[in-house]
Amino acid sequence: MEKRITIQVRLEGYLPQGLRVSLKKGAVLQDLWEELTNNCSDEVRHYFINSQTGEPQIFGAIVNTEFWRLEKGKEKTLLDGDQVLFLSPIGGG
Amino acid sequence: MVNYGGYGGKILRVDLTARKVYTQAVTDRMAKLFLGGNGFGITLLYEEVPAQADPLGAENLLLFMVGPCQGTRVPAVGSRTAVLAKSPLTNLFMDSYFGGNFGAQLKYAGYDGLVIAGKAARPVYLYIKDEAVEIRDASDLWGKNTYECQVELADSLEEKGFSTACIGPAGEREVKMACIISGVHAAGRGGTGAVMGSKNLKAIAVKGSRGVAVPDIKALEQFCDALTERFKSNPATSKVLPTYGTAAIVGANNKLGLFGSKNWQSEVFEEADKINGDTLREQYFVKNSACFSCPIGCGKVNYVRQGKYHGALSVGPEYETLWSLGSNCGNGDLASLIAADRLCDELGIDTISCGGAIAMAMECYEKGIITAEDTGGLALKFGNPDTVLTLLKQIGYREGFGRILGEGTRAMARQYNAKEFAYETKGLEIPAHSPRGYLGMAMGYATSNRGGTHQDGRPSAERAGAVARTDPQGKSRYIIDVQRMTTLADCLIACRFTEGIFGVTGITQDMSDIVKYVTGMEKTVEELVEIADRVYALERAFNAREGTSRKDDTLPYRAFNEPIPEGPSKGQYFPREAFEKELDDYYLLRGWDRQTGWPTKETLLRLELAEVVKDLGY
Repeated sequence: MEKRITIQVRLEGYLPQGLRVSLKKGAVLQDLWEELTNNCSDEVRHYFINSQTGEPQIFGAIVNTEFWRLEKGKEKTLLDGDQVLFLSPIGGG
Repeated sequence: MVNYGGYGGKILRVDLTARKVYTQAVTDRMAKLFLGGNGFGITLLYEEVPAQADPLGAENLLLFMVGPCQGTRVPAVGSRTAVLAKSPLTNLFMDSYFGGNFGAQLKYAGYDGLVIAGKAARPVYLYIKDEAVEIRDASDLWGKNTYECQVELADSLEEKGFSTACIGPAGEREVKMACIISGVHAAGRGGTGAVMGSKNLKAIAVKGSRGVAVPDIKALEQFCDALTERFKSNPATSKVLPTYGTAAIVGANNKLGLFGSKNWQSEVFEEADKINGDTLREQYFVKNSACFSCPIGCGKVNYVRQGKYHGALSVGPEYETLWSLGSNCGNGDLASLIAADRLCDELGIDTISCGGAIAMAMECYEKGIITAEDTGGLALKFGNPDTVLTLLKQIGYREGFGRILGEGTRAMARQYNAKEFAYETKGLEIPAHSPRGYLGMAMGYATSNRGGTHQDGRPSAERAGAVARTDPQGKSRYIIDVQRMTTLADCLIACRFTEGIFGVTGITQDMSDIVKYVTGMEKTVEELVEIADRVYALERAFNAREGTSRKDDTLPYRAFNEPIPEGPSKGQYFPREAFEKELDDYYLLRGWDRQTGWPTKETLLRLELAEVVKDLGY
């Protein structure tokens, strides 16, 4: 049986309850991004992908306490129980 | 006269000394070269405020400017107002902005701006109803806080529907971090409230009855509809800001280890969960509040329902205030922060500068540099909300130790020989975005013409991860592009929350389209960049006349010399050598002189600022 890991995902300022995502063992941050943008609800996809342009609109995440830019998402291997907070594109008023 | 759409066509001029009211025509040349808002404002400030003028003297001007978009329904742009003056806090150029509907009413009254000169002999307010402009007695309003003043003023007028702006006790007393309040919105930075107070001008009431003429109303409507849809397609403007306001980012910034704590001695605040957006929403939220023409609605009305601060009601606190009077003062009591936010509004004081000054004083007190003898017996310990509230009152009323705090951190650093604890650039307190962790934003702080502001340059792209934030390489080019965007946004007077829509790292075709649909001017992105560069160069020239040079484009001691001591961003700072290299590049790319930090003669001529050449001694 394929081994899987569970990731706790939060989207900053969005879906306060967060969500749990199951991934293959050995998955990287990029895999999580693809799962969230391809296989989750429209509401989740709406957070990541601009519905008009189809372009990404989220660019960074905190994995536990470590900041990662998503362009380097293939370099970050996720572990079972990791907490990932995706950052909204806001910079203060 | 101006033949483009969007403009009122004239600027209202009021000379309080002579009690004269007249208008000045807006010309096509002004529109083409400076667009409006901050662009118009700096031309008037530069031409009319002499070098070395006393910011609190009659020579200074106070300007309330709008641009071509105000009064239209261009989303998150139609409402806003620019306030400009020579700052009493920095003695340099200052612009500050507020939302609400004042800007729209000023435009509906037919004006692209209001310029106030001189000084009234006694307290007055300005009444503006289309062409009817009167300087009226304000002796009954003087002494009132900003909320009382606006309510009483509105009640006293012959009809409803006026928009108001006023100062509180701090502005009356010329406190250097006094702001101007319009409704519940603040033109917070740089002491423009003190300038208003120095003119004995307590308030302004404005109402207009005109529309705003545009070249093709149907085309503009369609354009605005499409823009609004894009606001709905963006998570920040459709969900995060409408739900939490700017408080949304407290939690993640603390997780990043970039949430200034105890005067930036740390960038992790152990009580961040108590003051984050979730807690604010769950425990204190009452309802939303939005500016005219805004589809976002980031304002959050919060109310304290029980406990020591029961009854406190405020539209806020914003992220900046949760940091400045919260974590930066070691204060994790959210109810007290709602009370403090309201108090700052009522007194008419800038929460960012107040928090910066109080936090610095607390650190100095804990280190024995400031003593109880200095403070009148008040123990300035981090983490005591009542001390924060007491000091805010002292600042607002210019009493006790508040007399010193209200002069700002730079003055305090001089007085106590404590420069290494002052978190400011050019005398303006730095806001809640770490210059040790966001090196692009740090370049923005250093090169801003206003000083420590997150509005000349932005932290957003670095924070979101769209741009690398800890590598200094290339931050000069990056921040110039961001500053071009912010400068042009200030000419159009666009809310900063449009950045996720119109472009966060530079001027985009969207801004060109806005200009086209509102004014009829066909401007390429490159031409808009030139306008932004012209405006920024003229601001820089204003400061140059005051004696600034490269040495003023710098960062606080701590940003260069003390790496973040703990947390996820431990070890981050801006090495001085890397900073100076980027600053060299910054000047080169802008066409500014490396030694002085001023625009070169060639740059001034290229930007059609020939009149400035002689002023800078070329």
